[in-house]
Amino acid sequence: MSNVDESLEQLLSKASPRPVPDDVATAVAREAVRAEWQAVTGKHRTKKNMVGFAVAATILVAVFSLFNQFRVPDTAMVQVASIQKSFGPIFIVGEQSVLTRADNLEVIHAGQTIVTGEESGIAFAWAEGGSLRFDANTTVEFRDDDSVYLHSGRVYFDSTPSELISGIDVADIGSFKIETKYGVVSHVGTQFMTQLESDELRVSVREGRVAVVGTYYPGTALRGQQLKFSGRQRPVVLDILEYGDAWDWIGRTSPTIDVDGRSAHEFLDWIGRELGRNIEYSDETMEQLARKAILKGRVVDEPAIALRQRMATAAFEWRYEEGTIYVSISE
Amino acid sequence: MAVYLDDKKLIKQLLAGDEPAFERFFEENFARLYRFALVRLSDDPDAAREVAQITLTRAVRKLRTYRAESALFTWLCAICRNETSDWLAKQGRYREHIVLVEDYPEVQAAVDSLQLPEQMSPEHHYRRVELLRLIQVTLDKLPPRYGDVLEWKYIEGHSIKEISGKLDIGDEATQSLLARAKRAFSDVYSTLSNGLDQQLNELAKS
Repeated sequence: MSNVDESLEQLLSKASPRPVPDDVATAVAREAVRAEWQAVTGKHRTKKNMVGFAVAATILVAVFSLFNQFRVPDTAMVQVASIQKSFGPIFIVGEQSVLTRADNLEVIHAGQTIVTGEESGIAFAWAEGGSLRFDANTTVEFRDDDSVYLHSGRVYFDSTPSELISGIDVADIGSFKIETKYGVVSHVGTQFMTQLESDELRVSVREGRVAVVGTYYPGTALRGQQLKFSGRQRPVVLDILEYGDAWDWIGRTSPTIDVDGRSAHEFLDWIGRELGRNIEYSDETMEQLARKAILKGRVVDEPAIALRQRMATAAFEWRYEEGTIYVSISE
Repeated sequence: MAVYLDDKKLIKQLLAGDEPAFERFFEENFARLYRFALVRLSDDPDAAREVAQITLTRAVRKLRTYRAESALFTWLCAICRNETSDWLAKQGRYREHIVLVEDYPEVQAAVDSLQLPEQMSPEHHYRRVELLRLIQVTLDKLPPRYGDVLEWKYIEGHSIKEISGKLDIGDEATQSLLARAKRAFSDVYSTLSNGLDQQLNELAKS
């Protein structure tokens, strides 16, 4: 070996391995770039309203019988959630950081990473109790039975959802944490939304209290507040509405509920919880009527639509007034 | 003027919708662009990932404009540099001063500098840190396979057999690839570390 070779090898041995982007980031980027490439080459024409990577990944057919291809730890196949509703393109990060279409996925195990495409959404029954929802363009890694890691996008968690949503244990709620690059978000009996963009974390609270153990600063938010972390700055607390546009996507992910034999009162409670609004009856008689009115069938529509349809047939009137839905008898 | 025929061929295949060409294009460039952006974005991995992704997305839109007069990765770096600036501007951050190095010192000099005693001046400390960083920069400047084999062999300590397995080639071919990679590394690293010395000299004079 020449002196130059020897010197070179010594030099290289002093260096650290080059940093690499993580698997999830690589998978998401690969599909985004692939979609753009396919649009450019005309190989697969995209629809205007579809985001790139989502469209691209539609050509990747999910083969669920080959379950082992998915990233699941060999040692612990811990089921942490089950899917109650999903729409739009859903992906799972597989080996070699490739996104695989997974629209028919039913259960989630610790270690798996789920990515939603444009105009997508998912509702999960969290195994330890609670309803977990993902908005479109969201990437989340299921770490273990009490935490997820939010890479990007928007998630919502309701620790005590309506009993009308089947398959969720509301009696024995375990802990649930959302980890992010800005810190760990945990809650005390609540409904809250966590949104992570490239340079900002926003935690919005509908009910209860949420604490964030931030990378640089801690913070807490109560009902009607939003906690905002940006860079290394101190968190900011803002007053927000608990309903409206920012929350609308949650209604779209509401799982189907079975109302057969349940009262209109229970149905309205579910509506209120999903829409973030209080329910008020015109008087006590009206409330008693709602308790006695028995519904039939299942509700597959999102809450706002279901409210219109069901109330029309129940001879009840209703109106939105800011954060409240007022219910009265039709005249 | 040099024409980068291999890169030109790859672009042609990409424009024809060739899937393996896309895989190669992405595999060879995403992680390198990520690192290129990372050092310019204060080591923010999320920002670097976003900028690298935007860069490749922009690049595929402009594939037809690539004339192979520079290496494909150089062309991508130019796009990445613009995207990094845009990203910083969008985030309201000030652009950080980026140290760029060019020119040629001896590899042995670099090794010597890495073996300085612990009591070193700030200038020496800076030089040592920069020289180590330049190793990574150099690996990224090489053809992708060259950078990978050098890293696997000398930084991560894999055997020839293991590397042959990774690349799905014979041991002799791996040895030959390593020899070529070392020569290329030596040339590029000399250029970069010499540039660093020039920069330090200018700083010392000012």
